Amino acid sequence: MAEERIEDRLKKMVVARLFMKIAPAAIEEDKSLVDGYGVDSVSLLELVVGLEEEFGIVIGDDEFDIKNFESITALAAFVRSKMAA
Amino acid sequence: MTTEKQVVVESHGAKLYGMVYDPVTPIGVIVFCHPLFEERKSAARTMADTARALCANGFAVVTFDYRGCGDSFGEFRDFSAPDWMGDIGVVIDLARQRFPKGPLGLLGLRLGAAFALQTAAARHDIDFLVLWEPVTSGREHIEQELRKKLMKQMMTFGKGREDRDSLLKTLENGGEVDFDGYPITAKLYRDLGAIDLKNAAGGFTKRSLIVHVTSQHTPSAPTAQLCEALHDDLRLVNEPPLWNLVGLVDSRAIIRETLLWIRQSVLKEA
Repeated sequence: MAEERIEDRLKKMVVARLFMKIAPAAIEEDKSLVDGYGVDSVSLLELVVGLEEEFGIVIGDDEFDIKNFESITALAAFVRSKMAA
Repeated sequence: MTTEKQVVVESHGAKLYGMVYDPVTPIGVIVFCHPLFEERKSAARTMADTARALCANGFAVVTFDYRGCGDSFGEFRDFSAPDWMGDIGVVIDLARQRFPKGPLGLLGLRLGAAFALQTAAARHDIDFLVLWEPVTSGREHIEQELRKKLMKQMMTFGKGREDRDSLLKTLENGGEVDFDGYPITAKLYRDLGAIDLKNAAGGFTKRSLIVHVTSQHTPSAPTAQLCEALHDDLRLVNEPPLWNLVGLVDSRAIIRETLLWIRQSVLKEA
């Protein structure tokens, strides 16, 4: 069975963790999480904890860069780089 | 008919402002232990709704603001966790004096739940505890608050401007760090950092309920460990964290679970 795309895992995680009333598949991968889906600093923290638990990565303070958290596409690239490191 | 009246009580030379919800023929009394910082504001409506729901079910409820918080007297930076637990003690005495019959319980949210458990463990007159999403480790809580601070910087400036190590060093060297506009003094940092509920749990042997508000379907490891240490009940509520939300919050689920447990566990025993 093909492994689930990181983008799809992220969409499910974001919807579940942030209690979004939207289907994971309906999240547009390049749309801004902040402007498009109302993600704020508090929910970003929940997202960081979720990323660490879901993907077994540790996010350092120097990685708190909005470029990493802009969209599902940006998050997926960030997770891939962390997993490859 | 139930009544709601403002109450002013003296605690260690400062006036605490609170509310008494009186069902006229009370079957017990519950003292609320509020969370701190912005969580107190976000939870205000839920706490009032819960007080009214408990009152409608026969419980007197006493709510109050700690010294330096909300409507109460004093400057926030002059107080710390032991002072606020002292305030809880003063309000417990007031609650027992006004409502001498029936079980006496504490209901706390987040750091308020941590204060409630530690206060109950140090006294012998608390019959039950309701802990809503208790902060189980003060050290981890501080780490998360610092991360939240960096997140806010990221949202404003594009990047975090500080790091946790330097902020912690400031606190360890006796300086202050701002959490959402609240000055965290070195003393408050030390006192909050000392909170370890798993260790405190052994001092409380009566009935308790932990309500874990989570998006997950299993409890987090610290919550499960605390529950085991308390030998008591755990309910999961799959709702957004009410203490972090801005705007109207639907708190029916957490109130329902709390009332159900009180009926099943506290009133049945009484």
